[in-house]
Amino acid sequence: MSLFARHDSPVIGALFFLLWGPILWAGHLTIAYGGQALLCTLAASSADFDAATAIRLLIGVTTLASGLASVFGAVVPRLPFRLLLRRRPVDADDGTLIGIMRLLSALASLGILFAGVTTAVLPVCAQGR
Amino acid sequence: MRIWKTPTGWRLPTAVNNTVIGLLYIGAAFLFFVLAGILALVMRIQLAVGDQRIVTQELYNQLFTTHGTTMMFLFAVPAVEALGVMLLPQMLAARDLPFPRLSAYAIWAYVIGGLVFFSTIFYDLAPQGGWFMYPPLTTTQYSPGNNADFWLLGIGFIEISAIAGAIEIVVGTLRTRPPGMTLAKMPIFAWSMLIFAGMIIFAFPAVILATMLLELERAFGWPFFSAELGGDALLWQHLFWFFGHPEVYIIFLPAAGLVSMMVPTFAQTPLVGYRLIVVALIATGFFSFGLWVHHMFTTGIPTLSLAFFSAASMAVSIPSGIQVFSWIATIAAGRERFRMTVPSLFILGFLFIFVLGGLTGVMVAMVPFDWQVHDSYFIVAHFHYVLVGGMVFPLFATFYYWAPMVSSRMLSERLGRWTFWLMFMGFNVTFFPMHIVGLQGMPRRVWTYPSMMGWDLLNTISTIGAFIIAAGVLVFIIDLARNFRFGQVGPDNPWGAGTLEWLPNDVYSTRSIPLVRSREPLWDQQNLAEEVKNGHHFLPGAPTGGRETVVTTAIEAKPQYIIQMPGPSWTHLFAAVFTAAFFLLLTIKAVTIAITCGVLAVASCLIWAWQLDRPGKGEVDIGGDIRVPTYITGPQSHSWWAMVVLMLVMGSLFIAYVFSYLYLWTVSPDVWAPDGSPMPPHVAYPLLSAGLLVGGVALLALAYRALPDPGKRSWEAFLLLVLASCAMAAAVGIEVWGHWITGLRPDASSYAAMVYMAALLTGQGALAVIVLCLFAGARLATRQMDRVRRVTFDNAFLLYAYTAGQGLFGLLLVHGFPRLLV
Ligand code: HEM
Ligand SMILES: [Cu+2]
Repeated sequence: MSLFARHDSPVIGALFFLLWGPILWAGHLTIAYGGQALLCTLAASSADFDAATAIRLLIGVTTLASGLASVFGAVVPRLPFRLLLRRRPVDADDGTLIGIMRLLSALASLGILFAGVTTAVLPVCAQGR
Repeated sequence: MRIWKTPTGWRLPTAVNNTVIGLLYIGAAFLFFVLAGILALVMRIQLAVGDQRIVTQELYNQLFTTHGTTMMFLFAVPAVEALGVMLLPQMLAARDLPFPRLSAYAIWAYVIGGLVFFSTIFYDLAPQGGWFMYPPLTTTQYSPGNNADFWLLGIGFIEISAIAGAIEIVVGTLRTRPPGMTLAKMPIFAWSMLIFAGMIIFAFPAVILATMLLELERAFGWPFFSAELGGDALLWQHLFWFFGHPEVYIIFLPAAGLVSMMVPTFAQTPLVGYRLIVVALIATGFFSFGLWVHHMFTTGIPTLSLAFFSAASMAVSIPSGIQVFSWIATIAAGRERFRMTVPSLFILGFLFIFVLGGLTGVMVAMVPFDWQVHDSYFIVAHFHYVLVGGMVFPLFATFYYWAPMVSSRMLSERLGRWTFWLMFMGFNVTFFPMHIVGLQGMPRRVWTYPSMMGWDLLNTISTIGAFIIAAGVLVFIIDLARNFRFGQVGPDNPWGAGTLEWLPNDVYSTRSIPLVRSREPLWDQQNLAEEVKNGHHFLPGAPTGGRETVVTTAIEAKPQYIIQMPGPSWTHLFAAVFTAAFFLLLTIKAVTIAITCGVLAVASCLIWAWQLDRPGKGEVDIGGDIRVPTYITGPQSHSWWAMVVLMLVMGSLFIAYVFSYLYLWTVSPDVWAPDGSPMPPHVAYPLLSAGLLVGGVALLALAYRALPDPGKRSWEAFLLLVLASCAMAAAVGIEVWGHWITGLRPDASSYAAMVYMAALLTGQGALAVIVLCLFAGARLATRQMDRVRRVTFDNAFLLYAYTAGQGLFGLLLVHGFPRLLV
């Protein structure tokens, strides 16, 4: 079949590759937001539980981990590509997929960074109004 | 080709081809637009000057609720899905979407359910809670009567039809692309529909769960939302806006995708920044989910989370900005001057209005500002700029642009210009003043206002504007009536576009399915139209002798197999009628007839499914020296894919449930076991239940090995299927029984309701699994299922494994979490 590319990409792998950044962003948001809500509830019920430190720690670690992974995807996309699609990028189509993935990862890194930084500045568990 | 002939006369409703039912779909959506628009006119007449008494407060509440609900659920989402059904197969040069009867079913269900829902406004039965139906306003205490139930069941039902459409679209865009159209060459509209469908899959289950919970509370008193028993009305808001915010983008993304298809044609140059646009679409799709809490800025969420979401609100405007710049760059890069046609006018109008709406959106996203304008007419103005600008204008551009594809005549450029200018002027005259009255303090959802507030003049202007819009829509309808003729004998490619839907077309799409080598094949591949017409590409004949199309691989688009597609039928139509009847009769509490209809609906589905899964016809030649099979099972097959997508939907529903469980715990830990309720039963119960679930999967694995050779029967496999069904039923039964004997009752507290809800969700899946297993057993007994022809078995197995997994997870949560708290 010379009409078509010689390789076959694994679909799930390709999907995770394309959505590398957004998936990290979603995971980060879930852990940061959900974790905060749960920890604040726990803090409200027991006096000797230091919610602020726990939350800062949790958000700090997840931000660092997901942020780095996301930046990594934007800078060296070839590695995730080989990991997830189990081959090297060869043609223009691969280039397009990589381009899309890099930009998405870059955007996601910004999102992760911003959500992480806000925790450093704002009081935790305080009500908005 | 005779096989694709549309049934005529009284058999017309049995048609399933996308070109026919797509028209029905879009026509119905447009009808709902007009109907909801008429309600808007009534509201505007009432508000034209202060102190009017034309409609009562009650009717006014029903009017805006029905208007909002109809526009969002019966017009915007279905219109977009309709365009997907109509345009996608043509753009992908596929003969049809992979499950023609499923889309036909979804469409009929929507048409019938929608019409009944809308008609409640005439009987004073429409709900009054506003389109987002916040409890406690919508609980039985404040809304007795059936009004809210109509909303809940009607909308729940229409969402199911939207999900059916989404499954179709995902499998269609990924698997029925023409050979050579790799993922990186897919038209932008297909990308946007893919993301649209993905968003529906994750967003709609949240609101389906919300409607289920509220209906359970209204009908049986399970206290999910009432505070006295540990419920929380905010839970509804969370679930609703988890869907509601993406909803705006669910509507907007495909519209943007359509614009990205039209702009290059009028500029006669490929889209500038194809990658950027794909990035923007995906990013919007994701980020919009992060936004849900911004709708509750004023309800007292911790400041920290507020900061997250304020940022996310702004971030989501970046991708929209990218798209706008991309379009402008394309227009500027044009080989010739941008052609000023009616579609291009509507596109420019869209850009203007949408950008304004985006600006006010950024204003609303700034937290303190939001406190001021929350629930004022400023918000009404903002979301109409976004929705009408972002969706209605592109839709009209679409009507004018793609009419020649379905009609034998183009729509009139002269009348079209009238339509555009009336709608554009009218729109701004109506909604611009609303910003000002909003800032002056006029609240939304008021049925009248005192004359001395100085709001009269601006309101009068708004009302006049609304009638100008109506005049524009009227001109469009006249244009349609005068110029629209069915049948494809019009010019093949009147705008000189580059994508496949402009190839010479018939009801079955193109004569042969082209080999694609670029994003604009019609521009880059000379003579493609001729070649395709003369059958020089793939599948010029009908090697299986029935309706069929080529299925290709998801990323590289290599031909993989031929899918045999079903033709016209009454079964899906009956299924739709009876499902609609089931839901609506349930609303008026006619339980016996409702259940009869439910059973009939299931029966119709079974007969429908019985006719599917026809045996393969061996390998066939599709042209270009390529031979492919005509039957395939396992992870490559389209039915497997549809099943996986369905499992994603069920998974999202379940995650929304887990979220609700934990959320209610954070709100009222005091009703949770061990403090306020009996502890869950002895661990033997969940263990036995879990054992049965795992055992059931094992039984099916054995059944798989026992599948007979083609043409044979296997009573062993049959028996295993029946046993597995029993295991599933017993697992759910034991779980419910265990809680019951501890004295826990679902209406006792929000905790209890949540406990039984887990079993209910698993039970729902279990019911489907049992029906499917028994169905597979029947196929086995009639020699229609074997080692080779085993799609039915695969489906039953997949669903079984999923349901068992979900059940295990539910057991872990319900029995484990309270023990953690001890
Ligand atoms: C084209 C002409 C339209 C006019 C003249 C119009 C007018 C109105 C009016 C007067 C209200 C009631 C405001 C209030 O009392 O608070 C309203 C509400 C609303 N409209 Fe429209 N509208 C139009 C189109 C649309 C479209 C196309 C959509 C959606 C796709 C839409 C969605 C809504 C929603 C969601 C509400 C809120 C309902 C609620 O408060 O529960 N409208 N509109
Ligand atoms: Cu929003």
